[in-house]
Amino acid sequence: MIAAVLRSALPHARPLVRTAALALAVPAASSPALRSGLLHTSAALRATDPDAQRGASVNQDVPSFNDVPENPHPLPRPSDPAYFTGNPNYYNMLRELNFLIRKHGIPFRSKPTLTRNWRSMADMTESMQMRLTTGSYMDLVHRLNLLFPLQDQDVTVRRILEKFVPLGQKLERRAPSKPQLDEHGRSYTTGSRKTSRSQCWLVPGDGQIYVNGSRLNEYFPMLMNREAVVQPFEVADRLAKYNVWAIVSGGGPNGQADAIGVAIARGLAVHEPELEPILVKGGLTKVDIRQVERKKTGQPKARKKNAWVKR
Amino acid sequence: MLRSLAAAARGVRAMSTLPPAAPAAAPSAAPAAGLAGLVPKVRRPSQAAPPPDAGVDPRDINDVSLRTLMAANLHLGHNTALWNPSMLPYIYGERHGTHIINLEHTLAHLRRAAAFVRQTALAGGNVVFLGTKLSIHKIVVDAAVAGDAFFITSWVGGTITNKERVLRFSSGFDPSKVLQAANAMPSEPSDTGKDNAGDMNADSAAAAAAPASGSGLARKQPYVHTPDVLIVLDYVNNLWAVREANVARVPVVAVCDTNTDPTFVQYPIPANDDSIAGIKLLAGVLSAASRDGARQRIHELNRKASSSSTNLRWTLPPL
Repeated sequence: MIAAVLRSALPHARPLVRTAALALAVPAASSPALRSGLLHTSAALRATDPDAQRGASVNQDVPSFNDVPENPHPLPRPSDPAYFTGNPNYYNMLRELNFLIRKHGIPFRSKPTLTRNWRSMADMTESMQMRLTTGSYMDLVHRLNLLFPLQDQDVTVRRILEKFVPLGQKLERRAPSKPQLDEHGRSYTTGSRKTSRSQCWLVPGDGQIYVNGSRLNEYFPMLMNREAVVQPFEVADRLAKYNVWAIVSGGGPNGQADAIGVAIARGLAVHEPELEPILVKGGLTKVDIRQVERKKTGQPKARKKNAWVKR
Repeated sequence: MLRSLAAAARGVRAMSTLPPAAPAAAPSAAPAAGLAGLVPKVRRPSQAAPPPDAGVDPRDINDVSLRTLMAANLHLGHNTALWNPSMLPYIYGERHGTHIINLEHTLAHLRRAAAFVRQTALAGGNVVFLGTKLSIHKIVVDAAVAGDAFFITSWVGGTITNKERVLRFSSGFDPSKVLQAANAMPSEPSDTGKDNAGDMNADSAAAAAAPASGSGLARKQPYVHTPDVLIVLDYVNNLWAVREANVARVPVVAVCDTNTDPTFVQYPIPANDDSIAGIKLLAGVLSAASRDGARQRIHELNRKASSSSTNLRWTLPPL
């Protein structure tokens, strides 16, 4: 299927197999001249033939051979110019994308304005039979992003880009939907820290906070943890304005407290979007992605090394 | 023509053992007429404009003169300290610490290389353009496509000597997978007298799909092509490719700068490999030669087919 699309889309499309049985591009019965086997070098032909215009000797100027030299290979030549790259699908795809980019006059070095996520490297390698490195994958993705804004203008562009969309997705980029309040006026948001994951429901109220069914001061005996949970309300000056029902699992008390804090900040932004810039600027909405670093072999811990010995 | 070259290169200390380019005394009539007959006329035909995105301008070898080569900066060599002494026969002299390449040699070797590429294409051989520098990728690809040839912009070691494995995506046959299948299932001794590679289908997807033996898994390795001439446009970065071609006895055409070793190359073209305009010119000439050979072959095949009663005709892919 890819071969069929390439054949139609490649600017210099050639018949796929150049053998006697299959390269019937010019029917012999088209003109008496062709049937007789002579190619007349008329002025009209010379004017249209780019080879003749280049100054190459046209067929009748060169003496004919009695025997054309034998093909040294048992098979006719491959038709794909990328045969000897060992990675024909990748190079042919690159050529197609380059051609479209040049056709629409997009500078190669420009930063793509509108991007989307494409198939992963492993996905492309497997499904499209390409040999990809990180560099060649990023080259491909850069070209896809350059062409992405033109998907509506050009059908050829659209057809190629659709091949690279992850499975189950459509080419058009859907704007991510913002979370909204449900029919009871509650916001549902999530947060995380280290291995803790929290889910939070916020509703306008008088400041009650429940975590895993317990009150805040029962679940978090330490002041530091309670402060982490309540910090978004303090920053937004909305203490005792909302009730919170939080479910949290994984990790320890500090991680759980921070996870709930992130979820509450996001919930506040849903209830009152004008608070969002303040919360984002304070970094309260952002998840801290730091995780515990792994222990390495030959060392007691991730960074700690064994005692240094002089000899 | 020759006198103008000498005038342009005034101030250059001649190092080569060739006779001086310009004769000391005014030439007499008879030798001048003979010499003038050898020098090709500089034609400036009104060529059709190449497509706007063409990386190479296919140019007939008869359109190339010393003036053309010099305009493309093909005479500029490298610093004299970086030279390879094997390039001595091709060096005209030295100027400001850099070597100057003798363009008469360049033109002669270019004609020789173009003739060889044309003959190879005429015989139906595989002409392969190789260039790994990013700045000449487009030239390499467009030269190959225009010349009805093949391109390589990133050399994978083993492309010739380990072709069954390296070109498995191109041939559609993975030798390692077949071995696994043979281990998994007991394979009967295959009694096929005919080889699957005898199929006329060049795209061996269909050929490989047809199993040779009754078990359905013991597929034979189809034929994998080798280059018949390797045209290297940046020799400095592709020493291993040239070495591999030598091992496999594939003739190499290469652009040799003053810091390269031409002894490994069968058809060296002594010229500057750093000038993009120069590489574009040389690639254009070789691409046109390849296309001419292919066109001539198709003409001959069509002529033969017309004498028989078949209705088949071959065509060359359009530019």
